[in-house]
Amino acid sequence: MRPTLTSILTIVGVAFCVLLFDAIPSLLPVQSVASDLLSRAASAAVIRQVAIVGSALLIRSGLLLVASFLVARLFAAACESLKRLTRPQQD
Amino acid sequence: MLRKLLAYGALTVLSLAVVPRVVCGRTESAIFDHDQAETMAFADRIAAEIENVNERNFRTGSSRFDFEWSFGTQQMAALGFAQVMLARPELADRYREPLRKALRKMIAHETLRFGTDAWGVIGIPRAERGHAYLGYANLALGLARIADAGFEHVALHDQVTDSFVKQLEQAKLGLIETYPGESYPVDVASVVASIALHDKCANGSDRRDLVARWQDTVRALYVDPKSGLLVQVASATTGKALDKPRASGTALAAYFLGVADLPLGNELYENTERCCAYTLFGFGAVTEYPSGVSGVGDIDSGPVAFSFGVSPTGFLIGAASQNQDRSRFLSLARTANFFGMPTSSANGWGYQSGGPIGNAIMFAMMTADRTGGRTRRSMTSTLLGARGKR
Repeated sequence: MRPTLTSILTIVGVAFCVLLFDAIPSLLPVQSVASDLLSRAASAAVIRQVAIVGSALLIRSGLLLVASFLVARLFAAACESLKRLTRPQQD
Repeated sequence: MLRKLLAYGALTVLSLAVVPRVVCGRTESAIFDHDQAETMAFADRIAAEIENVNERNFRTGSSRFDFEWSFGTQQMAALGFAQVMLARPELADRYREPLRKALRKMIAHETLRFGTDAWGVIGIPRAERGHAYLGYANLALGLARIADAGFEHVALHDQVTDSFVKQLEQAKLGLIETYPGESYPVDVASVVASIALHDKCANGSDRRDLVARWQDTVRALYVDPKSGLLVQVASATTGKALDKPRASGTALAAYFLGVADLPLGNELYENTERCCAYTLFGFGAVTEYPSGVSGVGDIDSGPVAFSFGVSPTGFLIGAASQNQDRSRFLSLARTANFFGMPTSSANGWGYQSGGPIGNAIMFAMMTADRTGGRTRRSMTSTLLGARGKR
């Protein structure tokens, strides 16, 4: 694949990760569990809520990791291009 | 090959240090800068959310705490609305009614039952002893009195303040009980901040000496010399610390005292920051206990994970905002954004995972400023100058 297309797809990927990161709390029925955690209540509803909050946090962490990795790739591609551009001048 | 791998590794670490901090906290950053649209979105959500909040929204396992949290939700929301009205006078008309509604609910007999039941009284007492929890309410009343030209509770504000002044004058050890036999320096900080704020809005009121004396007493008796944190519980009769120094109470006291622009607030903020605030890759958090002190989470600290507490982290945002500490504010706000999981809806913008009280606290903290501070000094003076003291 051509480097320009790869870079464009990477940027789109980063944007998608950021959008999804922002959308996760709306997509999952996240509710407060603070008072339940303090009361140490362990009903099925509380366990379900804790699981939802935990999943949302995991997914958001994953999206941040993927976005960071994609940006690192973008940096690497930019460095490669820069190296190629400067090589003839060094010769 | 190895060089390439190392380069990729370094770039990934660099990205991890940059990307999450850019993605999280964009709205919080805008609110810190008094962005009108973002501030309104948050305030609108709070106004809609607190309409139907009562003790039944909470399940702490203790009826007292359920009522306390209901009261705290209205109190923090009221502080937030008043702060927004002072920071952006063009929004004052929009949030006057939500502010008034929050105050009415905050001082309703039903809401105050957590305290009045403990003392065996009904309604707002003419207290000769105790009821320090009313300091929270009185602080919100004071700020509302400055922000709202049609403030409805002048007599009540004067009465509660006078009662606290009399108690504080008698309190050699600087403490007023919250519940019978229970004294919390942070609650007394709200009382004293409310007295200092009353000075700013009521005619002929000057309690500067009393307030200065109290701050000296606290520095001598209730600020832990090693960590600089406020002890969480102390005896009103002996002045002896009955709990460890903790960041949740200290950060909240720093915010309360900062509302009235008292120097002890500044000191407590700096102490908490120095002793308990940590930042990694732009994300900040605050430990509940200073290093070398161990303890568990409770109703004050909220859930504690790996020593980091929900409450101290949230409350320090308010003190950072008052101190115009953008870097600390943003680092803590990024963490709040990540764990708070904010959503946008037709009602506005707000956090999902903290519930109504979490949202109201974040609203008050993120819009916090000093009434006599840099950004609001001129405006508050203008307001008071235009209306005169009431």
